[in-house]
Amino acid sequence: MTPEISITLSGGYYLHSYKRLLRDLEPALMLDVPSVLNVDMTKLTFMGPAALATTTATLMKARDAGLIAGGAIAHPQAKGIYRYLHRMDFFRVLFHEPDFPDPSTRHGPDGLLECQHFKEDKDLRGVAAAILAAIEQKRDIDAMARYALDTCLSEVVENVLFHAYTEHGGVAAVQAFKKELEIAIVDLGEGIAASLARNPTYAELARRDDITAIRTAMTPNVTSTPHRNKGWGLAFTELLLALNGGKLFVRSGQGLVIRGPKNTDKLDDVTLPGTLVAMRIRLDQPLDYSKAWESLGKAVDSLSKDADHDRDSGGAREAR
Amino acid sequence: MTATVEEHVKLGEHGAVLAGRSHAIELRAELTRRVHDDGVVVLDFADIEAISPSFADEIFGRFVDEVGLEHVEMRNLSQHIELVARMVRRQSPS
Repeated sequence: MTPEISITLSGGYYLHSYKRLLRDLEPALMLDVPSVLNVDMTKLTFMGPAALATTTATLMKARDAGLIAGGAIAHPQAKGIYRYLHRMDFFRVLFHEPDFPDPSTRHGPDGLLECQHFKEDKDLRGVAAAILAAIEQKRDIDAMARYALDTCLSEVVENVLFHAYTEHGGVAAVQAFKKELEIAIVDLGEGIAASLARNPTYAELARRDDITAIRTAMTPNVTSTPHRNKGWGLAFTELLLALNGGKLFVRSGQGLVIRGPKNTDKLDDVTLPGTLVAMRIRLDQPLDYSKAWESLGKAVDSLSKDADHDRDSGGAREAR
Repeated sequence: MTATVEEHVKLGEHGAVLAGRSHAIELRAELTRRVHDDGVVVLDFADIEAISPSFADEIFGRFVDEVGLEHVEMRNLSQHIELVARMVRRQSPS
């Protein structure tokens, strides 16, 4: 008999309540046998980009892996979120011909961007361009900020394609709030610890715990594939957001690392089987692409000097 | 005396922002094919406003390492792209 599982998504899912989303999604995230899946969204009121991207990625992965043997989605009663999910193509992404009537109007740009699903190299520039176009419809950003966003979006999306080791790709979502932009990119691949452990230099640090793995992966010059990458993408993004006064959230496995005005490193009792990179960008402060490069240059030079010393004493240095 | 073969490549044809390692790998392969024993590839950065870390690594790092600095000339670099190029070269093995 086919097992039946139910998940209930209710209330608002913001970046700060992402842990609750993981708990609520857990039966679907951990699905490994074909099951009847019922999703109750009747009391859902809000989904931020991280929640939207993660929920979409979870249900798409289950669908593409042939793990959904029937079931139903009870759509939100609140009209606002129902319209919003339609506008973000949530139902269309999950079902080729959704039963739910589409109440949204698509008469032109409105600054909202459908969830971006990407699987291949050729998708990379399109995802960055689509996110930038949606942001520019909603907010005025200067040329420097545009270059900065284009650069770090390309780097983070590329990380999924190169390091997640998943055939299901990743999902990106964005939302412009009054004072901030939130961009989320999520994959349900092998996670940072397993990926980093592929490089023998960092295998011990990667296996210690998820926080150490994430912090190590965020350090310039650290990569799981040194023959192919420099390991500068995430570090560049962190430095860029630090100059902006924004925040970078990296969650993988049970680890959560937040870099911003207040740093957080913690292990949770819920697991994300994959990686979430989310950026909160202040719209009232510049995104200084040139200064981010200068900061990266200084960090890389400093680490190179440390590495010269370490080479004599042996072993890889632990990330701060 | 042997004349130097000069291959001129306008990078601005790839957009104002150079990003994406896969795109950079394809460009590196094309540039490498255009390098002759006695030739120079001139990389023209006019109209390039920004470059991503992965693209910079492929062009300023791996491409230059592969063909040798004597076969590459860079022109019209903005101040910060020149800074990026220097940084990548400092980290390169050759």
